[in-house]
Amino acid sequence: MTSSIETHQPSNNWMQSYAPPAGYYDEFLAKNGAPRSHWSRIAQQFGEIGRDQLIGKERQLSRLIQDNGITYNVYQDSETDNRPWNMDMLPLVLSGNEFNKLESALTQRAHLLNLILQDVYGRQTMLQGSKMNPFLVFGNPSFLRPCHGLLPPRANHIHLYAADLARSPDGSWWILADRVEAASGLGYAMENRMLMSRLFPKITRDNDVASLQPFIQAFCRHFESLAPRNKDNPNIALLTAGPRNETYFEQSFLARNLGYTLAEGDDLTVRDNRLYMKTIGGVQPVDVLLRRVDSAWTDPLELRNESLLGVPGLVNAVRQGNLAVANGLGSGFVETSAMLAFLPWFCRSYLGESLELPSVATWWCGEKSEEKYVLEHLAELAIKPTFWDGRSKSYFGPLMSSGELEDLRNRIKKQPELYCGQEIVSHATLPVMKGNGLDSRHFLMRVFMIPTSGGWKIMPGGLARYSGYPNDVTVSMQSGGQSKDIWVLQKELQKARRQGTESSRESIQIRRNSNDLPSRTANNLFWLGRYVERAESLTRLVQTVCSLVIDETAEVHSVAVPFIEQLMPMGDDVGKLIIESTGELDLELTEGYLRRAIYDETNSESLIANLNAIARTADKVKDRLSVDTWVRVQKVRGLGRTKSLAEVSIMEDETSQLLVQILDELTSFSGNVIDNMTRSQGWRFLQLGRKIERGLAISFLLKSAFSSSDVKDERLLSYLLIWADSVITYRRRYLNHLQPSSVLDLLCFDTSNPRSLAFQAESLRELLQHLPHAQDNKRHPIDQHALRSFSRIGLADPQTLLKKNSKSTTNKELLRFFSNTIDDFFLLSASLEQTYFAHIAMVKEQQSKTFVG
Amino acid sequence: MALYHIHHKTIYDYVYPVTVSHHTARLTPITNDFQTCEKFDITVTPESTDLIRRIDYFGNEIHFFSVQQLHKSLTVESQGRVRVTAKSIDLQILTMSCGEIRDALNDQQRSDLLDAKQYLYATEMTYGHSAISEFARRFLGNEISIGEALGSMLDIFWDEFKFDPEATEVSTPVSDVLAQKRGVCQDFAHLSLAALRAWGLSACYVSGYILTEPPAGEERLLGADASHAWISVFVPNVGWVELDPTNRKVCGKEHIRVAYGRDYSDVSMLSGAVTGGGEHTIKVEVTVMPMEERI
Repeated sequence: MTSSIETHQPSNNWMQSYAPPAGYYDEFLAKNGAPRSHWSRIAQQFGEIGRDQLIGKERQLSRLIQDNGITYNVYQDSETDNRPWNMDMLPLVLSGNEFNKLESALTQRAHLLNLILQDVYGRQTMLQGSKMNPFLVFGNPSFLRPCHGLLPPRANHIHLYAADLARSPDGSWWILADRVEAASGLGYAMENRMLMSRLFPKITRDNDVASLQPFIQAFCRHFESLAPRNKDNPNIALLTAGPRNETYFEQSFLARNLGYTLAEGDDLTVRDNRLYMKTIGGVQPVDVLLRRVDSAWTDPLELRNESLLGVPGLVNAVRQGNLAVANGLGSGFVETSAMLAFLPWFCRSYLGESLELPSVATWWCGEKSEEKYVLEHLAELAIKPTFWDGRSKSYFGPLMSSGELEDLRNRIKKQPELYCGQEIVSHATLPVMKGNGLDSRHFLMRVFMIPTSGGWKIMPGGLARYSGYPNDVTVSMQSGGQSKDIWVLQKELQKARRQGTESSRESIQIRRNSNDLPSRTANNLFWLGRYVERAESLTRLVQTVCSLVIDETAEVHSVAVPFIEQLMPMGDDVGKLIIESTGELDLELTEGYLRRAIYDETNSESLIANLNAIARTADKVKDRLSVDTWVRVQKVRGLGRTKSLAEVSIMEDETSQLLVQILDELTSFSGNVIDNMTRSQGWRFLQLGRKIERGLAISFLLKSAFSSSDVKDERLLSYLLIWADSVITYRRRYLNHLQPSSVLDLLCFDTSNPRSLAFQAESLRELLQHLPHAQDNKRHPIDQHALRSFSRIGLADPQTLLKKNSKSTTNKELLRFFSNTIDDFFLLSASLEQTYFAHIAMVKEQQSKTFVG
Repeated sequence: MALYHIHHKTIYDYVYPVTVSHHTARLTPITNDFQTCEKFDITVTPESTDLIRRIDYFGNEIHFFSVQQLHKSLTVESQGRVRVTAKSIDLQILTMSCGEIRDALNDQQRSDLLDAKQYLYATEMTYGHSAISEFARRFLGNEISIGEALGSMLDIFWDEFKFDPEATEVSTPVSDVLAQKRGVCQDFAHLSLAALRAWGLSACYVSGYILTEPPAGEERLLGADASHAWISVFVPNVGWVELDPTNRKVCGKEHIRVAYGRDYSDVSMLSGAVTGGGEHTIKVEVTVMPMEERI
């Protein structure tokens, strides 16, 4: 297809250019080449969209994806590699009838999986017969013994069931996998629908596409109903493994849209066998936990004790009936590949029925005859590990060389019980948009079910995923896969499902107490603020010293000393900066200090170290930052990788350009935060961090400057103003007449100057008024420190402070004043940490080895 | 028959205060065919407000507790009285062949052996590769009687392995223990379990105490004993046979059983998750006192 976009050939319906490969079922075109009936109207309407318009839609789509920050983490070990989400603009259209049938078949299956879980975590009758090998239970790492006998919420282990389906050439569906451990995709499906209804509001409406809302509402009602306590207004949290998880975005999306708090293990704590969330407002009970962390990692006390993702005591909170966890702990057992081989047997023996939907044919090599079959057909099969663990992987026979096959054959022979053979099913095709027309891809479909009082309900929609390449039947979001929204036509859907059985509450109300900000998030935002401000102050210091050295003559260089002092390690003697014989600044020594202050990664106070700290901290609060702010973070991260060029002087262009860039990014970061972040408690903690850090920087520098003998030197004063970015304000107020008292006034006591000490103190007081502690009537230590600092600064009189004891060269009053403000800021910071972040210290496992044997 | 008084005290000292800690204790001597626990109590200092007792999946008593007040030291102290009736059997009487036992355990029809099948498979701590299987073949064989095989196993550990508390840690894999032939009771228990399971037999890990005799003419030192570990092997028609590879013993009345599991991780006497605290040190005092000696 080479025709360019500019050629305006009218009525060339691009939907007509589709030619699916033979031998597969195609979703859009029937065998006779005509669109299937449930597609015809939608296909026509899409076809009528002109090419220009389509290009516009495409732009709109990528803007929507970008603005909403929709991503998929490609590599779990990287904090940075978030790929934007891929969605094809053409939906997969399915008839309501088809979904009716799927709902019935999947109801049987969800019910069956539930019975299996009840049995394995209960009486274990499955092992009484001769069919099921005990290895698949007792040797199965997904069978969690501490969960045996644990009563799942409402006697149901499964509260969200997802199934991966593929369609065979005759049009029937196969189940490839059941997802119950921590099923992902619901958030992405909701997100895709949101995108589609923005892009094509008219087509969606015209065709009566089933809305996802009734399902989502039923989902919320169901999860609320699981609460063992606090039933009227249960607190529900979504347990996430954190930002490094590949589907973190959809977890935070789900939490936001359902009104649940997104919590990592560190945000939660168990007290008296109840689960609580650690928030800035204190600990708050959690009644229901929607789990996106695998069962084995949820409680380091009773399950995997090396887990840092869980909450010690969680299993006990469930056992004592104080907490509902969904899906039930240990439910990953039914995801064991080998289980697929036994499902028909389970179905017959538990339900007396045969499976309505077949699973992909699976042979467990633990049985002699199955092993033989798999070894004979190795080149045609997919080989999967019987149990999934960190080390195991699957193999795809047709893609392996004869040497690799031989190798695999030997491994299977050695420990056959660890392998399963699986038929490679042919996946149906569907049309995807490509250039000016359509191309075909193999796909699989993930659908979602929940149990309600009226039985299991399927979501009329789902997530279609397809390979990035034609003819490829392995579909994985990791290797460049793409997604589609699924449209189910409402017309034929069973009536009950159309309205939702229960009276549908209007859109989900998100009630949120502003004090439920998790302490860990508050802590990270606070430090993000501090690191950003610290990096900015450092950059300005280095810039000031550089321009001073470059622009001024040697005899003036000594006024740089107070600035350099800020960059020196604690305890280093400032005196040695001046060469005794000449009285001039030791440039070589200065250069060393500057290099250390900018580039030295081993120096935790260096600029580079601070930039890295910004990136690291921002990663932990990514869901709180706007997309634009995140872009700045990524730039800062890049700059943080800069290496020093040993042979090039700090005074050269490279460094000064780097500093300009850094300052640029930091300023835009701060600007973005001020412009775009809602004035939530999170924002306040970020600002508190910035203000405290700035107050400290001003106090430290002025203390050094005013204790220096050059304090009357106009050049020192003017560089102080340059550092504080206050030159213009000063000129407007005092013209060019530089005097210590007026400089001191502007940088310390002028409440209208955003870079003055008084301004920081006043903003701090304002910010603190909104924190939870201020809602008590008692005076809190935090307020005492803030008040002390505020009144110290507010009541100080510059003239008195500058009045010198005639004998002494330095001004003791003024130095004491700065020492005190430094103490004030440190104490304020410490008492904020004590009050709001103290209970988030990491949990460590502890085992004693005390044997003599 | 023997009657014992057990006193077990563990003291954790932390560098910084701990804000909250959660613990599990499997310290209660079990009551089974071999012994009866007549009395037991556990005290935690500082006091725990939420001590819970339950029986775990393997039938052991487990205590859960948390300490929610700021503390820099934690003491867990337990005392119990146990009547041990077990007799050390003569391995000669175990004439069934290893091959027969393996076949019975691998027979899916034998659901009467389900309890034994729980302990048939390797775990993370008893995971064996080819060297372990090779080691197993030194004493196990289809035609060899199980009594003879287990006797040889005890001899091999006694003759070739050296007790050395410095050689291993809790996490040392069994293959390393086999390679260096050094370790403590826990390592020897894990290695023998790995070998038996790799070959196809069922065996479980036992944690408990052992009576030690003070040097001749000297008095028993209080607190100088320690907890111990050994194994229990399943023999159809006979039941579970307990062996102590560290001491070349078929266990009888000198062993006091606390808990059974697949490996150490199922039965660790004390474990916990603490918030805060920094580095910690542990001090343990165990006294196994025969009742006639008790004043």
